[in-house]
Amino acid sequence: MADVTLDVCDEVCPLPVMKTDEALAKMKSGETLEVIVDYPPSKENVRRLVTSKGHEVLNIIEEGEIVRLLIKKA
Amino acid sequence: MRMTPAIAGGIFGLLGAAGQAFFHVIPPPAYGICIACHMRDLVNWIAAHIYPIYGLKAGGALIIPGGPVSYNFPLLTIVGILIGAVIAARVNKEFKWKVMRVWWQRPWAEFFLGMLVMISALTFGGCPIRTALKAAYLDITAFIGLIMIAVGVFAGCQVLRKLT
Amino acid sequence: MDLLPPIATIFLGLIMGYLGQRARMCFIGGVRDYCLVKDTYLLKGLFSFIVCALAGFIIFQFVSPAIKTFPWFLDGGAVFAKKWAAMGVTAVPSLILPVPGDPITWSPKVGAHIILAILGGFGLGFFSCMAGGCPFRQHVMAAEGSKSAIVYLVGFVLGAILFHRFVAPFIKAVLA
Repeated sequence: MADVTLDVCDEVCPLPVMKTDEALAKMKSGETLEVIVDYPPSKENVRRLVTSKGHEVLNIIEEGEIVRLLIKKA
Repeated sequence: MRMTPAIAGGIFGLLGAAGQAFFHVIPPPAYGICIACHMRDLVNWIAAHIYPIYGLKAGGALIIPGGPVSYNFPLLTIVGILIGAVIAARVNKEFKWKVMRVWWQRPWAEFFLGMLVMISALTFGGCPIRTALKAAYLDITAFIGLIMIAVGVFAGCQVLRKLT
Repeated sequence: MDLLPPIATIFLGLIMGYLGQRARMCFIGGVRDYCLVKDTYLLKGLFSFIVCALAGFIIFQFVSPAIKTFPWFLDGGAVFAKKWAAMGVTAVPSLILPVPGDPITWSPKVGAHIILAILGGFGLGFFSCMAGGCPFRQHVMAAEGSKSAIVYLVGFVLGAILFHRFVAPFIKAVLA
């Protein structure tokens, strides 16, 4: 189970990316963050932002329309 | 091949230039693609009384006031965009009825924001896409406009940061 | 009756709508993503648009000799002036400001155009950023099913009506 969960369903760019950024900044290194989105471009956005900052995407689970990304802070 | 914005932007640029060169979308310069202006032309053509071209009442008869291009038929770019996007969403199964969650993107707020964006766009003389087209056309007001749009977006980002 | 513009623009719109939905193209989003998280993904779309439009203008200038409109300083402004005069509009491109933005708010003073550009540009950037995207992106999102964006479109149309009823005479009166 993830340490921190962030639910950004029904929100479009920029909000998922912004909130993911802020949440990652507040976490300690090694903790995991689970981001729940339901907007396909947001999934790509968050993944790209996270890998460009050096964090690691552990898993991407797609349940119908909702996508959960599991991210580990570097 | 995944469609990235870089490729799509390039295609839009060529289409905008082609609209001016080949398709007679011409009396306003750099008019090939514009969301706000073509929407204004469509509304004018339907309502037929909103934009009297000043000084124009040739021989007593009221010439259909539209944007100077859409005298007899309006520019149907907006219709095309909506249909094309619906087709793309249906084909790729990304169509879903949704309402935004944050308060400043709720329907009532979006209504006022839509009005303000259109009024600002017509004051400036174009929408962001046409501003970029005018910048490619080497117009001075377009460069100033691009800088001011960047400043405006920066101010909006500060407000967004305060609000979340 | 020139039927070419409407038929051509509906196809232009179809292509733009399809590509815009696939590629999530947004001009304001480019600047906004760069300001918030230093992401240049959408900004590359803006740059490629400007570069390709410039290339398109130059190349089409040679391909279609009937319409010589670019660059403006090689007598492009005169073409527009003639077409406008044929319709009775009195917006004449001058040497310093060759490309009038819109014949409605046109005035011979260059400073007027610059003031309008500053005010309009700032308002455009700020309100579009708050609304979540440039008008093109809002159209695509309305086609994707977002009810907020559909209400945005309604406001957009009303804004056009309001502008021409109230704001345009005001601007002409102030800047004349």
